[in-house]
Amino acid sequence: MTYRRIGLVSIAVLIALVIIAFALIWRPELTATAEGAEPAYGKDEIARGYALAQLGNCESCHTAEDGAAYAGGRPLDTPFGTIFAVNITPDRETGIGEWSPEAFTRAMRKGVDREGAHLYPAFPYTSFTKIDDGDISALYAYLRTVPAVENEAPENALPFPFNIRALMAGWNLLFLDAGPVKAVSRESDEWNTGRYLVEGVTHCGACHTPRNALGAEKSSDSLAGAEIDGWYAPPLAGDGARAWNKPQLAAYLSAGFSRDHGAAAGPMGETVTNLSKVAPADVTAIATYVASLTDDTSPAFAAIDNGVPDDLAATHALWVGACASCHEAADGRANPSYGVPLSVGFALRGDKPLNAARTIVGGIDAYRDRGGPYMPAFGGTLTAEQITDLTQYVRARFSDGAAWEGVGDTVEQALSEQNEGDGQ
Amino acid sequence: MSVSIEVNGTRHDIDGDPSMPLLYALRDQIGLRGAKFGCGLGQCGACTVIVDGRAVFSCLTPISALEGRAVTTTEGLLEDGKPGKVHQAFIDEQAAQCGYCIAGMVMRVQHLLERNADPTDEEILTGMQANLCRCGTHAAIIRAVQRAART
Repeated sequence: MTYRRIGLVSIAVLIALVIIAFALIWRPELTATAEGAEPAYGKDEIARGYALAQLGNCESCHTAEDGAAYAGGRPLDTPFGTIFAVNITPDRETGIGEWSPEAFTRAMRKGVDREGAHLYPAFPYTSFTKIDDGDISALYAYLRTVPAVENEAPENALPFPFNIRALMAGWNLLFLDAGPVKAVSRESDEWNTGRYLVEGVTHCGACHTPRNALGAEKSSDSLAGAEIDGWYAPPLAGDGARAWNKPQLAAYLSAGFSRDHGAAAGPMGETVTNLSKVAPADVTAIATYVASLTDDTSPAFAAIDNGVPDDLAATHALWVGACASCHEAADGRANPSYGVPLSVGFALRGDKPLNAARTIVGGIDAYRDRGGPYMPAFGGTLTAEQITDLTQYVRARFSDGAAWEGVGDTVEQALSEQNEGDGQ
Repeated sequence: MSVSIEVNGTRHDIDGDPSMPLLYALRDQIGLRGAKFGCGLGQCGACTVIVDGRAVFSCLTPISALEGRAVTTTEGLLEDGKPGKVHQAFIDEQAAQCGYCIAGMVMRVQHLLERNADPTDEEILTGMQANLCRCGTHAAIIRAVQRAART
């Protein structure tokens, strides 16, 4: 072979590679909708879209603190940097007003915006790709009815190379499993509806499924529990998952409380607030499916009380003075705050003190407007050291787990976040 | 057990069970009757006082948690024995009906204004959320907060 021929072949291979890369990465810009050409949407379609928006937590992520609904700007901290949710109101300049139904569907299913740029999977299109055509249309219809607000979301703070959106084309090849959820014929319609919701719009796995080094949910560990935003989303399936039955889970998801499992705190409080606004049938379907992932006939969890730990005798006074009036009611009756014996919930059984320490620091305040579980914040009432001791005390007394490591750091972190949010 | 607590600038040695709520020490041992017992669960705010610059529920704050820490009660906001700025705003707006919640409200306002001297109406609503008034004088209370912020 002559050098000339090798050169030609090399160039041909190079050109082929460029064409392949281009085909993988490049996505066309889709035509903007004409201004004022909005079709009329049906009342039922908009109502379904509203319910789907609640199920999908859309408003929670796409609304900044004290910002206009759906106008974007809320930061999401990821291991790769901070991503800001964008404005999805119908504003034509800063929102998605120019997006056609096709553009919206492409974003939901393929993670590509109207202009053809790749989105980051902080927007959970890997789940939304499972939503069927009718529901995507309904969601689009609803989002056309929210007030248009002019608000440009801040630029993402992603270091090189994560700021190169084209990389997501490769990521999608590896991790985007597009296509609908196939119904399982031996299961009930309700179970199948629940699975469709859980794997699609409600994207439960975004918090409850651990992620790999590239930030993709590990499909082999679906809903096996994961850290998120400084909290631990408990396992719903597999080892360590606590058995739930359908009525327990339906109550927990719609009202934030189950006597047998305790209260939904942290980020789950926001999810419950959204789920409280949808039809009970949808919540029951989710409960049916998720409860089926564990053995929902297993007996009730036995309460644990190992007594006052010897090395934390001084902390016992804090427990009696600050905690026991709700968590250790003498006659076992429920009190107005819905305090439960602490061995009931997941917080004390996990491998890390995240949920326990954060709940002591920040309390539970998600249900104040409509009744439901409530816990005052003890960050401020108690010092970092006292909260650390108390966290170890409850772990030792009300669980069979080994003493936690790193409690002090978790408490300091939670307290510093509380102080930041306290500049009212 | 004896705990040394600084209340309104004066040091007090409190004798009692270490789990005793600060509220009982204030009312029964020190004789400061401003803070009230409401629910005992941290839900109503009638017992609110300030500890190290933060509003807390004194009914859920055991004295053993307070060694060496500084407590301020509504009595501590008096200026030369006369109503302080926040007190006067409540009087001017006639923000009390039965008055049971007011000492706690005043401490919550003090905490709010120490952190944010010029709160918006939204910030006032959020900041006062932990304190309830069963008579329903919230509108007058909010006016009192606005007045105190202006003063």
